[in-house]
Amino acid sequence: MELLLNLLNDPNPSLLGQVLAAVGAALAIFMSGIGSARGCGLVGKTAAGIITEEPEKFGKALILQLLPGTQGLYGFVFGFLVFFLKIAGADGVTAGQGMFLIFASLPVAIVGYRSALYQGQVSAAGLQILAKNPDHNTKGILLAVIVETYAILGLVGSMLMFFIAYPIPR
Amino acid sequence: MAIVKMNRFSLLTFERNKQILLKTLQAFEQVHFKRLSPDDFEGMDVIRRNVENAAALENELSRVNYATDRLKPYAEIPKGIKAMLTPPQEMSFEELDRFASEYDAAAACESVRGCDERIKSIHAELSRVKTENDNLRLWAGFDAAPSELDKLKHVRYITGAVNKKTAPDFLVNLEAAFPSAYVETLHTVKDDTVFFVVAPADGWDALTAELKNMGFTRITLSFTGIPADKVRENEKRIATLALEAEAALEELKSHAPQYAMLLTAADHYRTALERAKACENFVNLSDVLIIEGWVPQEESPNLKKLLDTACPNEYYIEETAVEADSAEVPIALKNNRFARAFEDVTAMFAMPRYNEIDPTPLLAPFYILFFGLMVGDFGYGLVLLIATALLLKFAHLKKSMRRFMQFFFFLSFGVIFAGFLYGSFFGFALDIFKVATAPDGTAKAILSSDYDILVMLVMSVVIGVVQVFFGFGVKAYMAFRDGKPLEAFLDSILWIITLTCGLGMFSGAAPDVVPAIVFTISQYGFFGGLILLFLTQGRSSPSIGGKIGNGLMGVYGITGYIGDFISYSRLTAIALSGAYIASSFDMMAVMIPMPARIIFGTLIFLVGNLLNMGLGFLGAYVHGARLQFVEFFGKFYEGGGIPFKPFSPKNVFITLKETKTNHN
Repeated sequence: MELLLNLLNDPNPSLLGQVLAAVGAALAIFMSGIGSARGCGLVGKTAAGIITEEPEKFGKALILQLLPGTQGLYGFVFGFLVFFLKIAGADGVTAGQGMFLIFASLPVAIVGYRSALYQGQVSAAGLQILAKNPDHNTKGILLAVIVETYAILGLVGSMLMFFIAYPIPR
Repeated sequence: MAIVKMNRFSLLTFERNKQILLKTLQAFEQVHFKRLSPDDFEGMDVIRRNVENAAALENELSRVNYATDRLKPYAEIPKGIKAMLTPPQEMSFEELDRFASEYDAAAACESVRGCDERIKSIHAELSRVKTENDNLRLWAGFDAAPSELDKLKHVRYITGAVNKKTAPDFLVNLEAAFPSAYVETLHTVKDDTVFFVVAPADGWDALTAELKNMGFTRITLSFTGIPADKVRENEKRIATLALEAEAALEELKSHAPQYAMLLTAADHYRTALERAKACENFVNLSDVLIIEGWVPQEESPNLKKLLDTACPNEYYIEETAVEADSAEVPIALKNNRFARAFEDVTAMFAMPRYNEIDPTPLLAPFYILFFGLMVGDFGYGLVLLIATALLLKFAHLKKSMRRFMQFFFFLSFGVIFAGFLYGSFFGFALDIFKVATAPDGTAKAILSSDYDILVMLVMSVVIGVVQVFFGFGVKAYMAFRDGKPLEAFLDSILWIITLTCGLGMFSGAAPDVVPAIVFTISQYGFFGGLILLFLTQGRSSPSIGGKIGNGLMGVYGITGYIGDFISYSRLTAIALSGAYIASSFDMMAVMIPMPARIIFGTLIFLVGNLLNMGLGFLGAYVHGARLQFVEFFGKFYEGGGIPFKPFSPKNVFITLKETKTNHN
């Protein structure tokens, strides 16, 4: 325990710090990435069924499929910032900072993962609107965007933790 | 800015005037029919006449649609940007009618259908012949006609297959068992090798029995002549068929110039169908046609003028102003050019009831502010402004699309304004926007995401307080207007006072800045307000228990209002996420080393910002609407009115010329 505390309190940048920061970046990217992939996959399967019957609805189906794809982007953006500003940064990372970055990545990683799945379900259901009542397709998009809110909040939460702890040097 | 005042009318005329009347009213585009039922006229011999031609018109329409779908690939129609720049064909109502009577759409559809069916049958035949040939080519080695072989008396033959692995053994074994048999290997398909066996007629049964034992499966020949001959014959047939198909397609293409005319005819059928369907709203008392409906008050004189020309002296009309509480009156909104662009936001929630007010002009300024704050980028705002301005100026858009573009045109100003506040230009923090000074003495934008996140959060909640109080104000105004000043005070103004005092109590947190008297007054105001609310919120309940329960519920509602204020923090959250994503893409673009940056950096910058801009607009559109619907409308607006759907022509392709009778 004491050893752990000592490690985390070590004011000098270390390889351990970099490794921990990398874990944070990786979590953000792969969790939200898997979520988005599954969400998009779910919508894509349903969309393929509709496009078989009505190929002209491809464009609109694609928009619905893309909606759960943004979570992966959010995770990537956060992971990218952690990588370039901290891991590859000139100052190095202390072990404590690395631990902090792991926690900072959790909102975008976990919310991104789950919300992409839920958003995929709403989008897939929205495809039914596209199939049966295409004039109201926009409403299906709006329903799915509501789910997006929480992924945005996850990203903002992670970003706030990151930037409040490490303001961009100027 | 208001809900259009309506008159309810009852119109009686003779059945013989129906067609001319329908056309007149359709061109007028200002009448919303009420669906009458014979049951409304109890004790009278009122019936509903059958709609004679609706089914026939639907049939015609589907034929024309079939023909246009078929011709579309060959018609010379402008696509993409060119399509938007091409003005739509303009026709007057009369011209459309005349066109329909002169142009024989049915004949055109019939010949298109004829060509199409011919092409289909030719293609079916083609694929049949091709399959047959594919099959026959396998038998290319079979250079005898089965019909000739069948005539042989002293020898008999059989064709069949064995597994290709056992084929060599099969040959050896057969040779050994029946030396008199002649065997020829024809070909191999997948795992089977196909043989042709000839042997003397006597002893044939023994041979076939042995063949069966050796795993030989018989294949019955599907042809009678020599396969190679048949293949050649079929090839000739394929060539002829291909020519025929081409000719049929050419004939189909020759109808392509009629594409536009067919689309016009489709519009005519749609419009006629609309008339036929309108008849479902009417009833008849012997020869008298009874029509009821609504017309905007200001259009009422025009309606009478039109009736005088359509069926002079053969009609009777009675009009009454619609009473305020009517639930069945259709609702039309009338706003100035600015607020009209936001009517779709109101309509997406619900049209107002006749006794409510039109919330569109009230929400429009808030919507622009919210949308702007959530997107918050000077560059994105400029893109939106330029794109919508160009579309509105040069493109020929449908009325609804035009309104949608105007909506975004107005929103772009909010985005540009907020972009200036945030100092963000495509995610870059430009120095020219840095007009304020940071605590450390450096220049910064007015609301910088590096220094002012807390300020931004507080600001968005304050904006929320303003909008929620404004909503209460509107509710109070409506109660005053309806002569219920007590209700206005207890349900709206009292809430504003209580909530303001509640917020004022936060001043206690900063005793050095705010004089203590503010805190004291707030305290009394807040608790006094709560007590008054508790005493009055349940006043409509009949029992004492109900009054207490509903009073408590009313006071508890304060938590909901606090939730409403917090909900406005999404303004900042969405703005931040957009800003972070934009600046991350910019960072990636700049990070690429120099010679490659020109291409790849630009690409990342463009694609990333385009994506973020699209996401930003979509998110801001949805959340802007949500704040109006839940937080703002919840205070004063119920909605649930029926939208005014005037009886009008249904045009998809052509545009009706604006006449003096239709002007909306």
